[in-house]
Parts: sequence; structure tokens; C-alpha cells
Amino acid sequence: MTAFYQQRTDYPPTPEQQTTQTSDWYNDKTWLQTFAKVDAAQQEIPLMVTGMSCAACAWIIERFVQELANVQSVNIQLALGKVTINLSPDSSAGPAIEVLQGLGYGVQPWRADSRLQQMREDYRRDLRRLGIAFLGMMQVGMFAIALHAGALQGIDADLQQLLRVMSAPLTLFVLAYSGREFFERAWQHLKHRTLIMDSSVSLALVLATAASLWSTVQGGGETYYDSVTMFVFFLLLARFVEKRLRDRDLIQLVQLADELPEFVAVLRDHQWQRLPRDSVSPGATIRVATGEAIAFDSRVTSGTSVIDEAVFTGESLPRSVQKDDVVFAGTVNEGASLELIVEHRFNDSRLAALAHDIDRAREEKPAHLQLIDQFAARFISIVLLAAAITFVAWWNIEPSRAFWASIAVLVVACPCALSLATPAALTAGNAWLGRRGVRVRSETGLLGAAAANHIIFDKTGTLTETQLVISTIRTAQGIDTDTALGTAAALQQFSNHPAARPFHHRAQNTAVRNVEIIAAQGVEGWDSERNIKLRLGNLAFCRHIAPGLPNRPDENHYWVALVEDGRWLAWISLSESLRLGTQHLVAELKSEALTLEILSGDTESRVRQIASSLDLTFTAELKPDEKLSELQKRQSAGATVMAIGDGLNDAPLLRAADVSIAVAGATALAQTQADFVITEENTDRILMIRKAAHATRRITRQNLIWAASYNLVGLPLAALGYIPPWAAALGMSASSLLVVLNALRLRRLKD
Amino acid sequence: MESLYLLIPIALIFVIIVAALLIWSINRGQYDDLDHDAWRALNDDLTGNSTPPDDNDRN
Repeated sequence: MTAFYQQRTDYPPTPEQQTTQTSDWYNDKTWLQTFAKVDAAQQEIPLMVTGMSCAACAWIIERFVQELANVQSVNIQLALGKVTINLSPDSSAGPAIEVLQGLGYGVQPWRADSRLQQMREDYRRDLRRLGIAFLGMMQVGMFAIALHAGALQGIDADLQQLLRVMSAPLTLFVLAYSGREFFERAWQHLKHRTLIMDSSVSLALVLATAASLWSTVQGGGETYYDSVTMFVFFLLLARFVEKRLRDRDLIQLVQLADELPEFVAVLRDHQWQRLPRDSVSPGATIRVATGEAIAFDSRVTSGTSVIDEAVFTGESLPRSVQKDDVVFAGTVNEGASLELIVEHRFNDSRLAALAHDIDRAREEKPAHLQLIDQFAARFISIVLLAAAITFVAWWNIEPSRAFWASIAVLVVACPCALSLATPAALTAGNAWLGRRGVRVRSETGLLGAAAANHIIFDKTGTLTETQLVISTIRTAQGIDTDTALGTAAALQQFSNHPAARPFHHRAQNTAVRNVEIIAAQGVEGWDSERNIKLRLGNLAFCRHIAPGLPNRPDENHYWVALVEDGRWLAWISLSESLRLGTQHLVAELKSEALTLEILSGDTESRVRQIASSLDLTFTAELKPDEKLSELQKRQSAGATVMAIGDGLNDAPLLRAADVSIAVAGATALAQTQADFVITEENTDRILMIRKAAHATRRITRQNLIWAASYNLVGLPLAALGYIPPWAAALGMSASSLLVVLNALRLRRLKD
Repeated sequence: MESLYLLIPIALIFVIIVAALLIWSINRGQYDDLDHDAWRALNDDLTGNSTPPDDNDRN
């Protein structure tokens, strides 16, 4: 086990987070065959495992699953969250699933998802192109060193020609194989008469290669093979890293849809049957037991219960539902079992619509890249104009120099360094954060984080722990604290309500029976020994059987009353505790002269308590859309806002803010809206993001200033014929390299 | 210097071989999960499928 703790980079989920145990499904062979390969020789069962957040998790899964007698091998793909188990024929998959669930991981069947399939194909294709560009760059670069050294020390004309002839096919191959995505995209846009960054990249590549080929055929003049291959490699590298960041969201989305139950209890011919989810159509009557997720958008036909809608609302307190209320796919039934009538297919559900929205947002180009494209369109027309003027001017003065001078202008003006300046710095900054437990979801987030001057915190779960803790207890005369707590713990053991969770670890001292959870009111049960009714819950509910119950001691806490028939026992208060390091975080941010505030959906008194302990301004009792309009007010007043939150009720806020951070334990959908996701329970990471952002901005500025001034100085000189094409090419390569190396300085940033 | 006329084309052949190997290994899925395999190398007590791992902690 020591190795697990040494290699752990993140905390695995705890077994309590698993609500439904589903291992018995996997004993159903017909169902198993819908996604697994089962034949006479072996059974190959692909599973999607959620919560496998670090390499040590993979290690522990491999170790424990392998110990089972019927497991032949285990194969883990950490990046995809996929575990493939090979079982000996005719054995049951149940035990292996139990092991996984016992370790606290969520298990679902892995179905071939076309999006993930596509993602893997794209990844391999991009990697092949990148690899080929790298090999080409190294080999052509080696030849180029020989050529440059030869130019200084003297080289046989034959040898020089051989090196050029060798470089030509390599470069052409790199262009055709790796560089084709630039050409394809430029061509597509050209057909629609638009110019993008790729247009100017393609033009530079084509002209530099054409000029080099011309020189090679002529046996004289300059070649730029090394610059071409190097440019292709570095541009591809930046895009590769950026794309990989976006792939992670897709995996998360696919996982979310898969958290729905695979089997649903359906009423057929007056009997309840467990049928696969896919075979249920609208109009069917289904039953959802306590703790199960609801698979379809549907309407309640009988029963009352409470539904945890944290996926949508972020509210930690569940919503109570009764007959004719609508419930949504993806939400969890936390109360008594419900009968529902299915209203829509899954693909028409609210969850599917949400997933679709996020999917589409993923395809949209980040705003800064669109800006670069607009800039490129103008830039490239200016460069073309300058090259044309140079050509015409030299043609009239000295026709033999016209071609090389205009090539020099094009090469000098090549936006290589300019187009690498920002992505290179961002990639290095994001990698730095990634090594420190921050998942970077938007490659441009660091630019926003550096510019932010106003920070909005969500209260619950951001500044405070998501778990409530028992803080004070007022007992009636003659009752001691431990007795009251023990009785409360016994009553609360069956409830999954957030207010019940702090009691789950307490010792119970009373045997209870007939425990019933009454939605939005409390819990009722019978003391088995004394045969007396007990209640735990809100004031009205408890006073009903114990009229002597006094009012809540104060309004600043969340109070629950404990009473027995005719007598009150105790008031127990639950409160939120500040996250570790929150005080330090707030003090540090304040010293940077940032405006800090809390926007919370919680009641005023509770927010006030947290806000005053941190000395922050606050606005309480806000609905998600009110949070959004508060945010927009700040933005239109000129603030650049960083939003830090965790619930899905924060999702609009996180999306609309200039930059956003989802903290550890945030809902999956909140995470997909944020620019950064902190994976550790440590608020210091927020300071690290600020630090990385400032450093990245500094490097980006240096790079942009360098690239712009290089072009500004080089262009007129080249047009006047002072820069020979070889010097222009060397300058282009050197300036791109300088930009990349400058960005790499970020790696050495101190914590 | 004569040998260079032979060595330079040989270098080109090597590049082609390496490129072919790279594409072959990418297509075989050897680069699909770089995170996990990087850690696997550090696991002393994960010896493969044939030997079951020790129950006791070693260190």
C-alpha cells in the first residue's frame, strides 16, 4: 500500500459517494453481450470507471482486480477512464465489479461512443503528423547546419548540392504529411473568400518551399528547408497541446451521460420487470427506488419523495416532489420510491440538451483566436502588397534582384514568431499549472486570470467545506449531549440528506424502527426499547408531537430539533466550516488590491457569518440568473471578473465571467464551464493560478514585442534589399526559436 | 570526404526507417495512454499478469 500513497496525486472518491450498487447487473449475460465481447475462449469486458483521477488509482485497481481468481488480465487507459477486464470463460463479472465499487470508483459499461472513437483517431493522426514533423525538422536541421558551416568554411559545390537535394524530399514530405492541415483549412476559407492565420502560414510555407526548390534546381541561391520544417513542427505542437486539453471535457461529458442506470424497473402486463434502458419508450410507467438516478425526463404518477437536483441547480438541499410534478433525467431520487410516467426519450431530455450545448461550445473557437484570424487577414494583405510593391520597384531598378528581394520581404514578414508568441507562452504556463494539480480547461484562461481585478466567490463549497459539521447543541433539562447526539445519529442513519451526513460517523445509542423520511420536514421513527415516537427536523414538524419545543436559539445557523412524544430533547446546530487556507487566500488577494466579494444563493444570516469572519462584502439569497445579472453589472462598470464556484447554479456565472475557477468537488457540469479546475482541497492553488497568469502575461508581452519589432524593422530593410533571403530565413528561424525558448522559462517559475 | 556521398543518403534511409517505426507504434496504440505507463515503470511490485502481487507492504 505504501506505493499507493507515494504515487497518489489526487484523492480517490470515498465509498459512501457510491449510492447504487449495480454489480448484479453484470451477471446478466444477455445484457453483458450488448457491450462486452463474450465467447468460448474468454470474456472481454470494457468498463468506464469514474473517479480514477490519478496514476495511483490505476495502480490500485490493477492490483486488487488482478487478485481475483477468474481475472486473466486488466488493462487500464487512464486518460480515457477505461478499464478492460479479461475474464476466464463462463465466470461471473460480479466480483470484479464489486471490487471496483468497493474501492470507491463508479463503474459503467463502456459503449463504443462515436465521439470518443473519433477523438482517438484524431489523437493518433495528430501524433503521427507531429512525430513526422519532428523527425523531418531534426534531419533537415542537421543538413542545414552542415550547409551553414560550409558556407563559412568552404564546402564542395557537389556536396552542397547533395545536401540540398536530400533536404528537398524530406521537406516536401513533411509539408504534405504534417502540414496539410494548414493548407486544407486555408483552402476551405479561400473558397469562401476569407483569409485566416492558416492562409498566411500556407502562403509563407508554399513560397519559401518554392523558392528553395527553385534554388536547388538552379544550383545556386538560398534554401529555407530548415525554417519550413521547424515552423511546421512548432505550430503543430502548440495545436496538439491545445486540442488535448479540450479532449478532456469530452471524456467528462460522455461519463456524465453514462451515470444513468442501465436497467429500469418498468411496469409491463401488471408486473414490474427490469429492462435495459434503451428498450423503454415514452409512455411507459417506471419505478425509481431510493438512491437511484432517474433515467428519463418524466412525470410523477404516484408517491412523494425528494429529488437531489444538484446536477442542475447546485442546491445541496433536495426538492420535494409529488403527483404530477416533473422530474429530470440525471437527478437522483433521495426519498421514498416513486412511480413515474416517461415523457421523453433520453435524447430529448434536459440533460441531453445541456450536454449538447457544451459539446457545441467545445467546437467554437476561443475568442482570442478569432481576433488573431481577423488580424491575420489584414496583416497578410499588407504583406502581399509590400511584396508586390518591392517586386515592381526592383523590376524597374534592377530586374535580377526583384525576385529575391520580394521573397526576402515575404520571409521576413512571415508571422511565425507572431503566431507562436501567445500559444507558446500559454502552453508552458498551463503545463506548469497542470503539474501542480490544476486542470486547465481553456487554453486562454491564463490571459483572463492575469487581467482580473474583481473576484466573485460563491460561498458554499468554495470558501467553506461542502460537508456541514455539528457545531453547538442545546439540550433540554436532564438530557446530556451524548445521549441526544446518539439518538439523532440513529434516526439519521437512513437519510442521505445533506443535514443528515454529519451524523453518519457518530456512534448510535438507540435502536430505532419504522424510520420514515418526510420530505422537506424531517425524520420520524420509533425507539424500539421504550416504544416511543421520535422526530428530528424543523420547528413545526417537531412541535407537532412536542408542543413544549422552544424557538430556534438563533437564526445564524442551520438548526434541527430532536423531540420525543410530548417532550423536547435538543436543538442541534449545523454550520459550515471554512476551507483550509481560506484566511490566507483572502489576505493574499486583498494585498494585491483586488476587489473581493461573495455572491451566494444561501440565506443572508449564514452568508453574513462567513463574510464577516473573512471581512468581505456580500450579496445573499441570489438565484442563478440574479447572480448572472450582478456579474454583468460589475462587468459593464469596467471590472474584469474572476468567478470562483462549484455548483451548477454557478455554471452561468462561471461561463459568463472573464475567467473562472471550479474548486475541488465541483459538480461535473460546473467543471465543464470553468477555465480552471482545482483538483485538490487546497485554496492555495488559486494563488498559483494568479502567479502563473502574471508570469505568462509577462512572457507573452515580451514575445509579442519581439516578434512585432522584428517584423517592423525587417520589412523595410528587406524591401530595400539590405537583407539577403538567407539572412531573412535565419532570422525567421531564430526569432521563432527565441519565442519558444522564452516561453520555456516559465517552467522554472517557483511555487 | 568521399564517404559523405554515401553517409548522407544512408542518413535519409535511417530517417525513413524511424518514421515508419513511429507510425507503426502509434497505430498500434502504444502512445494512447502516456500518463499511466509513465507511472507503471516505477511500480516495483507490479510484475505482470503471471505473478500475483504481494499482500504485505514491502518498504
